[in-house]
Amino acid sequence: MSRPLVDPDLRAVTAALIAAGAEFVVIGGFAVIANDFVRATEDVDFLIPDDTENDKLLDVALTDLDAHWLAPSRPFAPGDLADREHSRLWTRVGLVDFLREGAPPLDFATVSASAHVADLGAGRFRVAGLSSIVSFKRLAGRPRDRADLEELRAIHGELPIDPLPGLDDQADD
Amino acid sequence: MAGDPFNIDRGRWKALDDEQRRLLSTAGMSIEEKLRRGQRLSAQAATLRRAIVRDEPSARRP
Repeated sequence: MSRPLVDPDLRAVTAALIAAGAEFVVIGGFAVIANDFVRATEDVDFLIPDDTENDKLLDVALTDLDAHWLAPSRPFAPGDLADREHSRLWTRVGLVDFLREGAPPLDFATVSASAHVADLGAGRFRVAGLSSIVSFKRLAGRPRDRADLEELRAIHGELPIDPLPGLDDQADD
Repeated sequence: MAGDPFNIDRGRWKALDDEQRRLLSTAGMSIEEKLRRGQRLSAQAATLRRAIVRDEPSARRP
């Protein structure tokens, strides 16, 4: 089944996660937007902690949002997030992506500590700060990520660069 | 529109493009205002994608 072309609704999806009491930080396109490069995005991306109790809270929110897996298409079921590093689902409020925390500086505590706080009317939530976004984009390295880095550099000047394990240590070899 | 290879209403396209350019300026905006503008731009982009898919079904992404 092709995915539906539903607008990503940041307010609605964060409201569901807040109502469930889940911990998360908005990353991806909306975090780029929050850091001054306003552009369109087709999904809402989240960093989530490696925490089975938090996964249970996400289960509640995703069930409430009628979440489905994309390929093969099937309804989301509680427990599906377990052991997944990356989960991409469509919901009645658009596409959502969940990325499990990684090694520092892309662990949940570090990203959360340097995040912005926003409130779109359904409660306060965190949106990744510039240094975290730069790290995510450098690590992903896709054309879209490189374009975002160029735009952020044009806006902010020299970007904050945190050493990334698996990327910068190889460059030193 | 007859003769338009993309089959998209040009008036509608221009209105979206003009609004998009206005939305790109962020000076002095709060984080919530930026997020709302990004939301609106994303909705516009989805509208355009739907128009393209409607008129050019082969353009739908897998």
